[in-house]
Amino acid sequence: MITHVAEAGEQRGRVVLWMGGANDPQETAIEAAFRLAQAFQAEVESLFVADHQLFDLAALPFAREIPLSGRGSRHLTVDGLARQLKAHASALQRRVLAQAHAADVRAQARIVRAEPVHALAEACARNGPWNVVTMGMPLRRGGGTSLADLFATVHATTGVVVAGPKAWRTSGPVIAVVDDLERTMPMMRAARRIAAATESEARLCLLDRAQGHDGWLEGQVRLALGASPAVALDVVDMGLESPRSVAQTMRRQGAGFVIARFGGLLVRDEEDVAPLAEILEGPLFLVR
Amino acid sequence: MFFKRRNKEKPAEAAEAPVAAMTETASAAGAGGAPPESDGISADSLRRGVDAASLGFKTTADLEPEDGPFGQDRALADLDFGLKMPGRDFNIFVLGPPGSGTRASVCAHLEKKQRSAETPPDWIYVPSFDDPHRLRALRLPAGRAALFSERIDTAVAELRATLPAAFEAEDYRARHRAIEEDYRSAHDDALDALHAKAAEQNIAVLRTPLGFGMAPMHDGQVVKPEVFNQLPQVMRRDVESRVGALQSELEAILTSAPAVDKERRRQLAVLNVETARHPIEAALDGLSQDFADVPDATAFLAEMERDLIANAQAFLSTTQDSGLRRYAAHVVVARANDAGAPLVSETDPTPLGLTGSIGSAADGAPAASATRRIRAGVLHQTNGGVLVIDARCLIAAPETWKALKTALKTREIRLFSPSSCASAVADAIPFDAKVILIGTPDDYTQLDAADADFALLFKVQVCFEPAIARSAVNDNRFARLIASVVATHALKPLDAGGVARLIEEASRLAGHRDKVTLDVERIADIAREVDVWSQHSGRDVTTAEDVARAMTERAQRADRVRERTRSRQASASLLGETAGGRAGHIIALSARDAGGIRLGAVHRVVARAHPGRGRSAEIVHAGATDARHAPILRSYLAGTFAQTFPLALGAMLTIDPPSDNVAVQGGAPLAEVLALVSALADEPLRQDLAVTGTIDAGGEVQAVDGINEHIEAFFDACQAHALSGTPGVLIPDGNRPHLMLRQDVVDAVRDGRFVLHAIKTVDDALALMTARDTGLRGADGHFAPDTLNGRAEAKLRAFAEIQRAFGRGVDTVAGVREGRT
Repeated sequence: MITHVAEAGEQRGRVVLWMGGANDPQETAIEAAFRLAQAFQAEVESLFVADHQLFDLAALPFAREIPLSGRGSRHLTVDGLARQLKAHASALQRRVLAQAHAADVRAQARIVRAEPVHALAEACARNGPWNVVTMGMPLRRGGGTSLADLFATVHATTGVVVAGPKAWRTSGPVIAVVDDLERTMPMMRAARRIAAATESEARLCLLDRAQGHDGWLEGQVRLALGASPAVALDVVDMGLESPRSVAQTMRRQGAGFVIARFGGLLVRDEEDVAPLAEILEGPLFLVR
Repeated sequence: MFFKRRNKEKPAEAAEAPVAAMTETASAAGAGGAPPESDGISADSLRRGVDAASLGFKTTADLEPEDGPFGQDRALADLDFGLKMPGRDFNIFVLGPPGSGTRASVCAHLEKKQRSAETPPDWIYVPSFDDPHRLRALRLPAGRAALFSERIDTAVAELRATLPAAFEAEDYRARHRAIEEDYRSAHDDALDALHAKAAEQNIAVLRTPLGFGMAPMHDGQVVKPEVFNQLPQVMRRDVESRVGALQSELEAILTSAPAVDKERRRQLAVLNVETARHPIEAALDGLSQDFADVPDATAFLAEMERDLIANAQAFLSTTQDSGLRRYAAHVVVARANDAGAPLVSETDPTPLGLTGSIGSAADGAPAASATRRIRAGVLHQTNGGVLVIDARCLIAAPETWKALKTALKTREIRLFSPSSCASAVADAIPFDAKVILIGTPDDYTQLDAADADFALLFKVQVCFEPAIARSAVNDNRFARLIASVVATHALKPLDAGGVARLIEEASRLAGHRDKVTLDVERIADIAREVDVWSQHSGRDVTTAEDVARAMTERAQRADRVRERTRSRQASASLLGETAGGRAGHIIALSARDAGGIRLGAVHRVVARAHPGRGRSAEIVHAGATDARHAPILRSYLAGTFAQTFPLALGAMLTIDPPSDNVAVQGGAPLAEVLALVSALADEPLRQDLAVTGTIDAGGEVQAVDGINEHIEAFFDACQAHALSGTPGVLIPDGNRPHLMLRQDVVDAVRDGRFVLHAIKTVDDALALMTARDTGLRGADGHFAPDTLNGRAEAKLRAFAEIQRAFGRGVDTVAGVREGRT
């Protein structure tokens, strides 16, 4: 089963909003977490992970902090770092809880000091099997976040939501990118639930190396959808297109959410994620 | 008819015996102070009728209605002069009695002039883009403000659709993304390169809450401090050295970021301007072309275009509607371009109503958000024209005068704001209008006394005539005036007889047989009432009979005051003893205005005289609040009688019923002096003759207002009490031209049942009231002892002797105390 989040009453999972260390929050990603929670009537757990590596750094005798302005670097201490992180985390969590209240979503907030992926794995395992992790900070190339590690380590998650630094929308068509016919129905159901929460439409984007079998593929998908209401369907031959060009097409379509399989034809591996997230204007929901 | 009936009840000789006896006595008195001829004023002199046939028309339908006020040529010329005079100070004060139709006459005169005058410009308030806390006043040609405002709203509404579309278009987004990519390449690539370089050297670059930190790493993880401290010193120094170098590079990259970001923002701003410019120009292009002939509007639109381009982002948010309202143009004054100059007649001016108001900008919102709460004032509507106000409104509400004065002095209209902090948000609008105040001379005096600026601002006084001389021409014009009243109020036409009767009534209202009133409103009121009675009679044309009926009904309807007076008269038996004479008793007449009608009243005046305590007469009035003429009485008595001795007189004068209303126009002074001399001389006065008139200190009788009502009141009282004999009234000779009596009174005089005597002096009146010789002062300085004046003089001399005999015992004179109480 994929692209599922346990409902709040089930006590079987949550939307885990990962607020990472010292990074600035990505507002669109945070909003995406609430949209998902609304779509699946799920609960949000805002988990602020203070990366233990920062404390290792602060404990080094020569540790210095270079401000964002680049001017006036200063000595970094463990205590000073702890104070900064605490203040930062408190402010962030207060804001998240206020947003949750405004969105009428149940939410709780926690602050932990640990290795991020392990902290997420532990939190998801504690919540139940049906979790979705949402990265609350922008995904950047070279940002040090390994989604492959995350998928490998955090077992109790059905997917990860990421957003690039320039993402600004959650409204707009919810596009489910299907590259495996068997996943058509569950992907479509997830897309429809999210679309209902964002008051937009659900679409399908079928990727295949069909090489001229577009019509046949579309027929198969429509057969799989059966009596479902008519749905907009695009078939893309990945022999002719690249993930980047597909992402640009979806951006032009004003995609609000894009749901895709991590390791599929659109997001082949770790290297594809950040570039795609930067192209898209909305969040990218990666499922196993 | 009461006299005939009364005369039939009594033998004629008996009824006229006392008067005849008095007349005989008077004849025996001889020359010098002898009574004047007693035939009275002829009936023909009591009313000046109008010959309907001479008017030259059948009904008012044949007449061309009088166009505007007539008989006011001089006043209108003065008015026109005031209107022509430039400057803030040559405003106009029109002197006219209240409720006399002066306002209507002024407005009627000005209406045509104003309609043909040039229409003043429209005014709107627009935002000031230099100062968000200010609203600019913008002048537009007449008839174009509403269009301008509407077109602005349309343009803003259009931009709400086109601007977001422009910024959502792929073209904009692609260019935006390209700029962002360029920036990212320049900055992030440098950071990426640094990350890669650091990774090659096993150095991790970590993000801290406030910046970046660098640490050695092993297998992708930061080296634990305890592990690092166990490394050889050489290695530790090497690591520190590498970290230091990388930190310097990082600092260099971050330091350059603001400049790069600034350039990015500049490029994005340029892109935004370029993207916004086209739809904004498209939205305003038509508007700019339509108002290309108005430099102020063109300049404003250019500023608005610049502001729109600079603030185009406001159109991209659905939550910033209030921000877009700042572009609204609020129409303050809008007129049709052929409306002419405004003529505003304000009946209930208030400070707020005059200047208009503006709501405060709440919660620190820009001033433009207050535009929706602008209320234009009367001054805005009047600007460029004429404002007509009743002076009494300004007297009753000094704040209103203050607001008007401020506008006149500063020559600008500043919107009133309930909160002082918002008062400066709207520019003042230049004020250029003539103000015409309508009031009485008293009103002018009051305003002048209250504020020295008043006379400086109202330098033109225009005096409207209350009446016009009767002539064939004016009778005809008056008939045309009635025709215009008929047309205005959609009344039935009046025939010539009805018009003639109305002209006669207008003469009565004018208080002069040779004039007609110019009080158009009262004439119109009467004409409308007449029309009702004409309809009641089922006639197609209103006749003299309807006019007479209306006047009778009018008098009866508003006669409640007189009815009450009559009942009091009855209880006081004012006319009870008319058969003979009574010393110190006399009938006096007065009139008062009640319910728009002047009503006469009959009073009994009783005088008692006694020695006074001082060197001058002490006259106490009971029943008269207005005793301003007491000094005149004293002066007359002293000048006539007390030439060789002090006037040691104490007197009590009682007026019943009391004339306690300030509006009373009385003829009591003459009656008082007659009663007092009668009391001194112990000479009875005739009780079938009433007296009206005032006197001066020399004993000359002066005319009074409301003479017709005085006479008619006594006539009615005689009728009500079936008075015997030939009653009559002594009137001042100066009132002869004012006689315009009711027809029944005229008939009674013609039939010898009522008599009117015109008198010039107190002695004339005394002679008529006593039928005796009043006497002349002889060569020895004294009156003959057997004359009326001689007896009065003797009594006063006796009083003086008594006073001298008592010497200083002033307080022991009992009569004085009585007089005081």
